[in-house]
Amino acid sequence: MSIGAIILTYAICFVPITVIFAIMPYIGRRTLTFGVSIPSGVHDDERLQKMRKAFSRSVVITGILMSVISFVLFWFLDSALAIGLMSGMVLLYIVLISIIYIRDFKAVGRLKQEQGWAADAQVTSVADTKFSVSKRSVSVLWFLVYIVIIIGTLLLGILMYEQIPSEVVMQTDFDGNASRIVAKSFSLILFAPSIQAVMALIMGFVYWMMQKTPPVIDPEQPEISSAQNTKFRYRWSAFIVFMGMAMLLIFLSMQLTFIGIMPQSLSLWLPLGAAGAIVIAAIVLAINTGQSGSRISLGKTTDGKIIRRDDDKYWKYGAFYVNKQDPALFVEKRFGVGFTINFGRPAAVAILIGIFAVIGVVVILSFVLAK
Amino acid sequence: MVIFIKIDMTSEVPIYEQIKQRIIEGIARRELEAGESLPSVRALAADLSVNMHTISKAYGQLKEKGFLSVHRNLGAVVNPPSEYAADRDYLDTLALALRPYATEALCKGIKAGEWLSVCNEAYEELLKKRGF
Repeated sequence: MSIGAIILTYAICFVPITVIFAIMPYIGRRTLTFGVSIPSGVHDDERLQKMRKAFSRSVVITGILMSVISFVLFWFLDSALAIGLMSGMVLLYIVLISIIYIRDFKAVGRLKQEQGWAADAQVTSVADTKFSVSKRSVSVLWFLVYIVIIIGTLLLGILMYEQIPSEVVMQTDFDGNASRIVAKSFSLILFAPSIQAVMALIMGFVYWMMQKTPPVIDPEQPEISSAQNTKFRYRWSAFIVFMGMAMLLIFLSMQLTFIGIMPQSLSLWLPLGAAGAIVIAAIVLAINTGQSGSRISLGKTTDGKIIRRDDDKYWKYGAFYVNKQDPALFVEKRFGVGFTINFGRPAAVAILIGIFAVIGVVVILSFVLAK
Repeated sequence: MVIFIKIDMTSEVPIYEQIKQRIIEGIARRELEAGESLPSVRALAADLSVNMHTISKAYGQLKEKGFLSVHRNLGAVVNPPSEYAADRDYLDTLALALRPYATEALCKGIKAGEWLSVCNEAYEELLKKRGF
């Protein structure tokens, strides 16, 4: 591989993952550290601060080591093999980060026990009875634009079928050479709209999930916390809706490239640019909002001794929520930003399997439709 | 109006009782008006991450007392005051409920006047929060 291609590959994969995990201990709620619930009053405890710093440092150092190894490997390998190997390296990197996380998760748990942080804390849970009617998402009507784009992409393929050359380039490598060429067929014009439809489904699901997840209200300052939750969801719903739209447009551009309206040279840089912009926007938004808006400043907040629902026992490794008693299908994540499912509810597990099935369908589609 | 239902998981008062008391207080303080809706059993249980039976029990007892109407799909709706107006039965129940407290107060040598002023204080504190 050429040096430019290697650097590009590296920038796409390792840099965002490193940044995302390195900032994770800093964008959560003050009542949680490494997936363990703590009273917000001890959040700035010296030992916890040290652990956060050490975690970020380990993530960065591991990232650098992994990249050096990748650089060396990629240098000797040809492009296709290198790209295949890269997913393996990325996966390995995430496994290593998980190991570091679990070590810290256990350490905080021990510290909590030793210091008796749970023992002398009041454990409360708060519900906002009007949260379900708060304005916490951009209009669902934006999804109509999705439908217009998908139908437009499909119609474009059908109406302009004549113009498609007998062979089209499906994929180019980072050096700009065609790496996959397929013969013209009717299934080719179905490719982009099918992927778009699946993406629309996933975006719709995330949008819906964000509305359904019960908000976590800080008992120390319920009004501020509730407003933060609302703002957090509103901003992320806008991100989801418009990110999805951008991705749909990328696949529209793919259709345009097939037809020959858009130059082939753009077909590599446009998706890469869009992916880069999306990742940067997500990181900025995560830093800006914090988990469930905990970093959105809406007034003076105070730390205290209250632990919000000390439900550590339901959180395996602080990452997997299993609570059969809780009717919630989705819950707020404890480390990082976003939501996860309640593995104690069969419906939630079914939804998760459904999502994987949908992703599986995309993969199969991309093989079958564009053989 | 937004009302927050805050429960103390470590308290000896059962959770359904805490929820019940909070809603009755919301009505007493006019934070909850007639016709206003409360979250469904499932939604409130999820918000507080407690068992659905806990919420059902609280709502069921509030319904019995006439404070709420519980609809299968609409969730719970606050009733107009006529639905829970005090009657002879209520006064009897109140007297019965106060009896153990009065008994203990008597044992501790609390005079009738003092007893009344304590009762009044609790009552007037709610009126004050109402903004009268």
